[in-house]
Amino acid sequence: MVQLLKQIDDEVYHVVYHQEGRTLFVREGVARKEPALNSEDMIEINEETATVRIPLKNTFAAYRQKKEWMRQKMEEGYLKAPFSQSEAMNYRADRRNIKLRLLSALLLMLCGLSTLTGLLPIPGYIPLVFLSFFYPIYIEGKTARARFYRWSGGVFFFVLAGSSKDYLEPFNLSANGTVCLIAGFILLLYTTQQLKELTTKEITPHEG
Amino acid sequence: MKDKQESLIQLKREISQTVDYWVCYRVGRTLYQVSVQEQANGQTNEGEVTTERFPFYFGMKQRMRQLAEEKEALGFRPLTEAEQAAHVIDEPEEPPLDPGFFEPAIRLAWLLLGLGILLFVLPYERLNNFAFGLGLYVWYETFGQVGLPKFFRRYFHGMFGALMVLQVLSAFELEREVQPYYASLSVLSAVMLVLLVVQYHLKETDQIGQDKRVSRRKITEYPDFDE
Repeated sequence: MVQLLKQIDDEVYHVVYHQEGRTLFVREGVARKEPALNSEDMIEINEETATVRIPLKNTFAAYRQKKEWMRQKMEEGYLKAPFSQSEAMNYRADRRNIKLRLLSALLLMLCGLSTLTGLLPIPGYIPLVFLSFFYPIYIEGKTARARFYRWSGGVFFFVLAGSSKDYLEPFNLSANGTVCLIAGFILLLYTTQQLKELTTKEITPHEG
Repeated sequence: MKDKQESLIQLKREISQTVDYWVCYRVGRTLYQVSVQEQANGQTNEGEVTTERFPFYFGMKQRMRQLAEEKEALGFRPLTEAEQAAHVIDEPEEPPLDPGFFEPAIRLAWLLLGLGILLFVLPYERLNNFAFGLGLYVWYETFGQVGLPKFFRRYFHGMFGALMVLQVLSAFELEREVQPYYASLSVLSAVMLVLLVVQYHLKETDQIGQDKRVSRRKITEYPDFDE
């Protein structure tokens, strides 16, 4: 997600570009301040157009198109902004991250399968590094699910580290493959959980 | 989309007061031709439905084009856009997948995964038969589901076929050789069951947050501590 901002007097114009594969999403909006009715408070009003979805020929074409539009906007005086103005686009970005996590889970399971069948035995330290990026040990909360993720993650790390040396020994191979499969499966289930949360997450205007 | 358009040809001919329609479409490997005559007083005569069966899908499109050319030589013309739009009957929408199926699906996926790992790790040939039984049950469960996406339906049918082949092979005393195939098949099926859930949610979340919106937020002014 890339966001460009331009301020004119009290109004802040923003343009958001978001790329998913070969599809580009564009959304524009204005934020301005107005005094609220019946009180002295100021209210920020953020108006946004509908998202335009533009499928291009391929991913590279989409990337180039995005860069081109960004260049044009920069010439008009827009600046890149690190904070996000558009919750609708945040939503899409979240969804994209979940998709990437899904792919990583599938890759991990493929690792496990190739190790267990012996087609391409993969030493434990590769999924160890890989897992430490993707495994959800950072999630907060004391729910059973969060605890399960943290504890199983810790156990998996130990097993993978232990089976890294002499990884071609049959016992290490099967331990490694089993861990990859189970960890990948848990990651898959975690993505379904996140997607479900995204479904129930409402984009509501801020109140007060 | 392209395939759908290809699979239906509608032609029309007007002779003085009567209008002849000729429609050609295919369902599966069967080609149907229907001709309908509409008279000036509003009466319609439906002609016979001619069916042609093909052993394979090859050559059906070509045959349809050939038939259309023959009809066009007899004075038929394709329908215009407006005419096509007037006669379209709204297709009944396929009911979506029941989300109540997801919980048992994930439970079955766990079972399949566990069994797959056991099959990889343990040398017991009895496990093959467990995998076969569980696979059959999964196939039965998915077979009963309304609104299962086509790809998944095909996959589970394929799994059923593969299980049959493996079972036949193990009847010829190839149990040991067949075991890793059983194992991979169960792990794959577990993944597919979860992907079914994932795909449903992905489709559901695709459309949210697309429309125009206005959000209002009260600006809270924080006291300046420097003063």
